[in-house]
Order: sequence, then structure tokens, then C-alpha cells
Amino acid sequence: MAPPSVVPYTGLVTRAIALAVDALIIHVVALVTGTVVGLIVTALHVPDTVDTIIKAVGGAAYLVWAASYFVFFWSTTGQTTGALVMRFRVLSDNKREPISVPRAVFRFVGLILSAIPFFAGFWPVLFTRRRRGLPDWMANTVVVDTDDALL
Amino acid sequence: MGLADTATDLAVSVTREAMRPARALDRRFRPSAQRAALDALDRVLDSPVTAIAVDRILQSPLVERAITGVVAGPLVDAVADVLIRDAVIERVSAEVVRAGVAERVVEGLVADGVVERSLTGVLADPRVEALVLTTLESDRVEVLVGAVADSPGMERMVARVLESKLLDVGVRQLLASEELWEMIDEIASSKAVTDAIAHQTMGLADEVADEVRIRSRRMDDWLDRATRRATRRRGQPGPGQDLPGGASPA
Repeated sequence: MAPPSVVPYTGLVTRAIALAVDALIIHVVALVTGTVVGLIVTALHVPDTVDTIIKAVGGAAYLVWAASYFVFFWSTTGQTTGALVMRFRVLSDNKREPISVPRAVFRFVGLILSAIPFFAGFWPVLFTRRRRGLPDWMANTVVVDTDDALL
Repeated sequence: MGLADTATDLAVSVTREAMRPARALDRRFRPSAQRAALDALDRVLDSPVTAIAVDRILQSPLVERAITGVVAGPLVDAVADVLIRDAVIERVSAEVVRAGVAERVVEGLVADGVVERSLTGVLADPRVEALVLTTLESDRVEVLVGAVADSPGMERMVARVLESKLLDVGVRQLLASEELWEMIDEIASSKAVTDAIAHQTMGLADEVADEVRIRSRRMDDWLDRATRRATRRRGQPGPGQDLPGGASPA
């Protein structure tokens, strides 16, 4: 009988670098979009009330954009751009395949919650055998290394 | 002193005395004779008859035969022997190089556009192209080029060319030419070059990403070992490793 294959779970440093790459992409896109919208609003001289509403909508749009980014990639290929660069995937713990959209949304909520108290939600990655953090527990996922070439 | 010696002295004295009037005449008339001879030569040289005569001589088969005879004879070999034995060519070359004659000549030719016109004419000739191709395909040429390229003389010559003003002048002329920049633009915008740059850039990005991946995973393993030591976790699988399907090892 052949020995069972070993699955390498991705560690905290690798995941942190991937998250930084994703954050960079999200912020650059948001910054460019925000700058364009801000310039237009400035040129139009809108009232303060409308300006406040536009800012609130912009904040909400930013949140939706960030959530959509993660949810789309986790639920389709299991790899965000950062994960593609660092070569790992987010998969469901039981089926080992990309997760569904609701679970991806749930995982994104876990990601936000993990970051709020000094990234405490990610610390368990250091101490658990399968390197799982709060987002993984909430969405029942694991993060595993892949050998997929970038190009 | 013998009788013979006395006779000899007497003969010398007599001869000296006999030549005295001749020497006096020579001193008196030599300058005017020389002037007369030069005047006569000038008149001969200025004469149209002389020019016609010289032309006829030069056009005659006699001159041709004479030159052919000289070229075919031992004189050429003797001259060549002398040139080689006394290193005449080397001495002249060294003097020409030292005096900067070659550089001045080349600068003048380049400035007058002679070099450019000549090169354009030569390069446009299809026979030159055929000759170059035939030559390049020759095995002997390859051997010769290798030997020349590896020779110390070539190294010295290249060093001298690099140090000379000739290269600076050539480079300045080249950089000032509009055709060069048009050619560079054409090459830079060609598909082959852009593809190569894109490939190289992506290869570089991939290399950087590979390095980051390797280092991050090394750091992960180090953190794992450190936390295991800190929490005294023992007898468990290696860092971050498990069986697929969520199963844990027994």
C-alpha cells in the first residue's frame, strides 16, 4: 500500500505576503477610482450634503469592491492574485475544492474580524497543526501550497 | 734615396707644372660653362619638340618592354629583399602612426563624405554581396579569423584603435547620423525585440517571486519550529504537514 501523500499547509508569513499583494491591488484600484470620482465631484461643486452622501457611498463601494475581490477569487479558483504569486489555494476542508460564494463571504467577514484586535485572528496559524486561523475555522477551509506555475 | 725614387719625384713635379695652366683655365671658365650647360638644358626642356619626343618614347613598345623586363627581372626581388631586411615598411609605418598621419587622413576623408560615398557604392554592388557570402562560407576563413582574433598583434591593434581619436570621431559621426536613430527606432519597435523584453521582464518577475516564495516558506518553517519549542509540542507531524482530506495521522 502506497504511503498517504503529505499536504503542505501554508504558513503565516507566506499568507501575510499574499494578503499584502492583494491589499496593494485593492487599494491601487480604489485610489485611482476615488481620485477620478473626487476630481469630478470637485469640478461640479456639489452641496455639502451630497458630498457626504458621495463619501458614504464611496466607502460602501470600497467595502463591496474589497469583498468582491476576495469572494470572487476564493469561490472560483481558490486563489487571489497574491495567492497565485505565492502559490497556495484556499480550499474547503472536507472536499478540498474552492468554496461556495456564501462561505467565501463568511470567510471575508472572518478576515475582517481577525484583523481588528491586532491580527489576533491569525495567530492560531502559528500554533495549530494545520495552520488554520479564525477565517479558516469560520468558513471551514484550509490553505494549502500548490505547485501551479505563475505563467 | 735610389735612382728610381728620384725619377718618380721628377715626373710628379713635371706633371704638376704641366697641369698648372689647365687648372687656371678650369677656375676661370667653370662657372660660365656650368651656367651655359643649365641654360641649354632649360631650352631643351622648354622645347615642344622635347615634349613630343618624351610622349613618343613613353608610348613606344620599347618602354613597355623595358618596364616588363624590370618587373620580371631580379630587380623587384632585390628591392623587396632590401625592404624586408632593413625593416623599411615597419619604420615608415611607425613614423606614419607616430606623426598621426593616418588619423588626419581618415578625419579628412570622413569629413569630406568620401568614406560614406565609397561605402554606399560598394555596399550597393551585388557582386560584393556574393563575394562576401562566398568568403564567409569558407572554412579557411573561419580558421584564419580565429588565428587573427587570438593573436597578440590584434590585441595591440584593438587597444591602439580604442585609444585613438579615430574611434571618437567615428562614434561622433555615427551618433549624429539620422539613419542610425531611425534604425534603432525600427529595431526597438520590432515584434521580436518587444517579445524578448516582455519575456525577459516576466522571467525576472518570476525569479523575484520564486525567491520571495522560498524565503517566506523558510520563515514559516522557522516560526513553526520556534512555536513548537515554545509550546513543547512533540511527537506531531512536521511543520504544516498533514494527510489530505482533513484526516489526521494516527
